[in-house]
Order: sequence, then structure tokens, then C-alpha cells
Amino acid sequence: MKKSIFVIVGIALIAALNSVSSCKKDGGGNNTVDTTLHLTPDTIYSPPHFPKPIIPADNQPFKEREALGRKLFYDSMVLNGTNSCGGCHDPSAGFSNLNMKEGKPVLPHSNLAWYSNFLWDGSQKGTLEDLALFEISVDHNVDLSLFNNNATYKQLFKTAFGVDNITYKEMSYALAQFMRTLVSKNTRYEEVKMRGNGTFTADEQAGYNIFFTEKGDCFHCHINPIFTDDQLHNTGLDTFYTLRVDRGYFNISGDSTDMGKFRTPNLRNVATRKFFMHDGRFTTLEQVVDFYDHGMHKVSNLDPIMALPYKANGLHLTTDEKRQLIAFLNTLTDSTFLNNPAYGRP
Amino acid sequence: MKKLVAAAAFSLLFALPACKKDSGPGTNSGKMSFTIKHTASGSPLQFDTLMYTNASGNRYRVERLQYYISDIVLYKGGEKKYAFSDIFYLDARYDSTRTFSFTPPNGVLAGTYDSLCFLVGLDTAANKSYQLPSSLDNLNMGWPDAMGGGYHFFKLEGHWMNGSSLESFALHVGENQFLVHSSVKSSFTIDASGTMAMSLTMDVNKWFDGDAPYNLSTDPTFSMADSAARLKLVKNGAKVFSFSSN
Repeated sequence: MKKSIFVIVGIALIAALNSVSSCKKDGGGNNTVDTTLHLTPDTIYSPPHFPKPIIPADNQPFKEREALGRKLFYDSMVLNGTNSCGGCHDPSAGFSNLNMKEGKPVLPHSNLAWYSNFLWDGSQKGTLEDLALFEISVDHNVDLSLFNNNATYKQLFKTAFGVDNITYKEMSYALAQFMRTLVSKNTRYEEVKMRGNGTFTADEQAGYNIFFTEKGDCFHCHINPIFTDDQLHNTGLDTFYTLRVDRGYFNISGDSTDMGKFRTPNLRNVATRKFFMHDGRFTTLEQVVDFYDHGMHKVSNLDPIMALPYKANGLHLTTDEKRQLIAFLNTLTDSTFLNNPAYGRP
Repeated sequence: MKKLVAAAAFSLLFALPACKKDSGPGTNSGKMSFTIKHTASGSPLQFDTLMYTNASGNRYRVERLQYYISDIVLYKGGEKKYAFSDIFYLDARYDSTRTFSFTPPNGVLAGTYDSLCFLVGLDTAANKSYQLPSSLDNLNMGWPDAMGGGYHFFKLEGHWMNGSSLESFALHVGENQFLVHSSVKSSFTIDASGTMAMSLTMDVNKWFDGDAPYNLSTDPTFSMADSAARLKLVKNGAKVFSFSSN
């Protein structure tokens, strides 16, 4: 399928005109495209000190496309009636899963606009559009005929993309548009440490100090203020990799130095999650902290930053310090994000 | 994505005054280009391979090497002639960051210069949390506020053989008092157009083998919280660069 080409002549001009012209596109299949789309530009909020969000030039944010993506995200028709994206990426759990499905926990969908590496094993790289395309066309093999035979969707795609025939491309673009709006920016951490409003409790402050010093050394991967470095690391989860799922990026690269490497998860709303690590082996934050405290395996490609000197297999924190670290992790909960009606089922 | 950090807006705010020039502003508009090579034990640096040995006998491998170069200064006749406030981020794993360039706004005079100095790190004005443009690279280099704030100037991480045991090391330098002043005391030429293409080599071994020998068996293998360890690295860092022979 040839690629669609949308020429967007300057955001300022778009904003002024409140419309965008789209040139002829696609040519794939029997698509025909309106010469002019009347779309409402939107902006992706970038929290203070965040990098510029990654937005492809040909899929700049428009409210009509975001709304369509949101409808698709919660529609079980996308997954052929079995589930929906939102069925696993549950808003109440920070867009991660409340229940294990197919034995794999899903990474939370928040602040994805700043990622270039996707999925636990880093197997998908590029933009959110690339991720969405993979999910619908490969991972879930969405039946497009269901949408092309649905009058409501036909009209929505016509409005948003000007197409008469819905393809994976438009569907992935719409989903990417919605997922890019899922921005977490109002944690207690930000309120206290970035905006200077209020103070941490003694435990929260002590946990902050553990997190952001070599005592805990969490910050080297969960970088401030995004709380992920968008990179892959072996954190010593396993000594042997008998299960394919445990091999991480090695499954993609075939390079032994990538064995057991997984993407750094974003810690925003981490306290709301039900499953941790790539296989959901931990179900509480206490278990996660215990693992980093004394459960790590010193494998040959353990990330160097993981093995503090003279502390075999972990941080060796006291019981109080572990409690304090968890108290800090709880400050990364963003209730305005979790309860934002704009992110929920339409 | 590993991009060269050319902090143009930042430079405008914090530009160092150019050093006194010997005959007024240059009239050219040439580009100053730098290519940085990394070696260890006399060979091009290969990541993730346990193949290097420092003077202390530590056999090691490198898994991460990231740093800033900034405040490049040109010396001529023993005097500081030009100073440039541009800041560059390098990740030795990626070709894209190992070559960088800038165009001096007022040009530079042609001629032979004595030496080149620069910082491995950031000067005081730049070394404040969130001061650099918010890129993933710059955020990744953040030095936590809980430890003084600003940025890592330099990260060298890997594993080494401690007897029969494979141990890790993470040599990080940050904070204003641990700025690495690196110099290359060898003459170089800038042509009539003001263009200079310079190739420098960082010998990773020299981070261990300089004036303050750093032995992973006896010195801290993690340096962030140890000022004495960082001071050793600062001393050694002064001489880790040289002009490349090719």
C-alpha cells in the first residue's frame, strides 16, 4: 500500500484557518480522498522539563482523530469482539492491566509521546503510529471489514482522514493520536518538588533521597522527570533464560549481550499497578523492592549500574528504608490522570 | 535517538566572552569540526568485550561512555585567543554524536595555534538542573538534586574481573568542583577560510592510568558519592585526549 501524504502547511496557519488541507493521498486500493479536511488542531501538553513530544509530521494532533482513536481504543470490535485496547490498558491501573491476559502484563500507556522503544522487549521501535500499526495488523490482526461495513466508522474515518476505505494506516494513526493525549503530569512528586507546593512527609522525603542517590540508585534508569530512560537493561531478574519470554531483547537482536534486557517501565502511577516486570512475577511494590534489595542475580550482562559494590544481589536496605522508598513511589500517583474523564471510555 | 547537543539558545544566554583577539575579529566564516575517536589499550574501543587492561592490572570492558564537551578554547602564542561556549553531548556508542561542529559567529583568524582546551562537563552557568534543552540525552545525564543537582559530566561504566568474579563499575563525575579541564597541547592549523577539521582520540585507559592511578581493586567502583574518587578521575581526565594520528 502506498503511503498517504498529508501536506500540512504550518501549524500557525492551521491554527489561524482552523482547518487543514490534505492533498491527494494513498492511491492504495480504491481509496479516494477529499481534497479538503476540516479538522480542529490540538496540542499535546508537554510537562515542564519534558523533551518535545515525538509527533510525525503527517499525523499532527487533531481533535477529530483523537476522538476517533479514543473510540477505537475502547471498542471491542478492534480486537474482533474479544477485548479492547482499554480492556488491558485499564485507566484505573494507569493504563496497565488489572488482570493477566495471555500471561503477560502490559506496559502502562502514559506519556507514550516521548518513547521511541515500545513493548517490554523493545521489539517495536519508532513512533506510536508504528506501534499501533504493529498491534492492529500483526499482533491482533484486526478485521478491517468490520469497520468498512460499519456506517458510523465509515463516516468518522471519512471526517478524520478523508478516506472511503479504512486501512490499517488510518486506524493506527487514530489510535496513536489518542494514546499521545495520555499525559501524566500532576503527581504529588511534581507538586512538591517541581512546583514547590507543600512538603513531603518524613518517609516520602527519605524515600526520595534513597531513589535519587546511590543508596537506591533508581534514578539512573527511571530518569527525572519522565521516570523512564526509554532504554533496555538487564536488571538481574534471572540467571537462566529457559523461557523465551525471559530473554527480552535477545529475541530480537540475537546478540548475547542483550539477553534478559527489557525496557525501563515508566514509574508514574506505579502504585496502581497489579503486575510488575515483563512476566508479572511480582504483584506488589513490596515484592519489587525486595527483589532489588536482595534478589538480583549477578549475571554477566547485568547493567553495571545495578550492582552496587560490596552489596551482593541488591541494595540491602533496612525495613524502614524499604517502607520509605515505597512511600516515595506512591507520590508518583497522578489521580488527575487516572480519573481524567477525557481518557475514559467515550 | 542520540543527537548532538548544540545548545544555541542556551549559548546566547550564557556565551563566554570571546578571548581577546590579536587583530580584531576574523573575517572568515569557517566551520570548526571535531571527530572524537575512542581507544583503549591501543585499539579502537569495542563495547561489551572484556579485552582491556589498565596499568593497575584491572581487566575490564566498557558498556557505557557518555559525556559532555564544552567551552572549547584555542591558544596561540601561549595566550587564549578564542573561547566558544557551545556544548556537545557524546555517547561513544553512537557515530552520530562522535562528530560535531560549530561555526564561530565572528570567524577565527587563520594560523597555527599552540593548543586546544575544553571541559569534559559543563561550566557553572550551564551546570544547573534543567538548564540544558530538555532532550532525553540531557535528562539522562541529570545529576540528582538530592546529590547537588546539575548534570553528569561524564559516565564510564562496565565490568571488570575481580579475581575470578565479574564485578561492575560506574565511574561518574559531576558537580562544579569536579569539572574536568582537558587539554591537548599540540599545534594545529586553521586555514584561511577559518575552517578546522580536528580529530581527537580519547584513550579510555588514561581515565585509570593518569597522574592519579585508579585501581578498581582498591578505589571505589562507584564514584558518584565519593569525592576522593571523583577527584582522581578529574586529574586523570586532563590528559585523556590527544590529536589523532589519522
